[in-house]
Amino acid sequence: MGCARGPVDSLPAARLPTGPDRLLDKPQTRFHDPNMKTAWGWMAGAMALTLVAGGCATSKKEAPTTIAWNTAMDAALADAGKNGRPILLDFYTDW
Amino acid sequence: MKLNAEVDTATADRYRVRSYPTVLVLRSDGIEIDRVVGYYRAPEFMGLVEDYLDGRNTLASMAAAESTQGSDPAFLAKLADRYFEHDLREDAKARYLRLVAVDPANRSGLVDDALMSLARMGRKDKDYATARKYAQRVLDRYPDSDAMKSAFLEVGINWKRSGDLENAWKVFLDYARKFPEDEDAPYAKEQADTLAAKLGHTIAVPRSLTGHTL
Repeated sequence: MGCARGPVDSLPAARLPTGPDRLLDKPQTRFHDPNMKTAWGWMAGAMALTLVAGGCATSKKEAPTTIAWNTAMDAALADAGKNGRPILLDFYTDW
Repeated sequence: MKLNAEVDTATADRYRVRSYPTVLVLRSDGIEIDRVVGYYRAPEFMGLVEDYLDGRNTLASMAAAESTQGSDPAFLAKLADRYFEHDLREDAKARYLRLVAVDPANRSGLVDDALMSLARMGRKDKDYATARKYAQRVLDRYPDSDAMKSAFLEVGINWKRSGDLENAWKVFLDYARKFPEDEDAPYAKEQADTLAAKLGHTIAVPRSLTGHTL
């Protein structure tokens, strides 16, 4: 997983489970903090850790607000293997 | 890296990813260390991943500890949840069932949730009778549980799925009348109305509902 230099992905808005859908067959989205109203805290964690795991140097004065996500598995594996770094693989959906 | 699980289904299947978001922590060779399922606040998320990278609190480490902690309800609940997150359903079921067995009085407060997990897995497996049995057990044994309403609806859903529309109708109607202010009351009423139309019933509570037990 490298530090991509190209255009950054925009972060998708989190889709929150509402209504009886949570009772039916759609996979349940789990919120581990009942007071958590949005996914931005989680996203921020993912962003920060991705940068740590990926070894991207960031200045303390320049806190990252977006991430350039790698979206090609083969390339990520090759990069991780070459550099001996772990990979954070975030599975998401658009629904 | 980021993958749309509905587009790259092969990779999602390869890692047995069934719910979203799921973040896998992989070794550099692509072997999974562990996963984070659902939404966490940033500090907790960071803590989990750092633990995994250091080999702590992984499913593998928990499984290794089962021989010594396997009678602790809290441990069993966590282990079952972890197996479920990994889509290792039979392993999860076995731990939920053991939790139910070791804490029949639900002193841990975890047994009702374990039964609901078993019920939902049963429904997912289309084993509606089993799903209904576990949900019914929550109603019978732990009527004060915060899972009671979910169990109530679960019973109705599984009656409906199994094709017993009459009983499903009774349960949904009962729910809508017992808990009119509940957030799921509109759903229950809609289900009852739809089933009533299919069954040719009027919406009024039938006499057969008097004293009805689920």
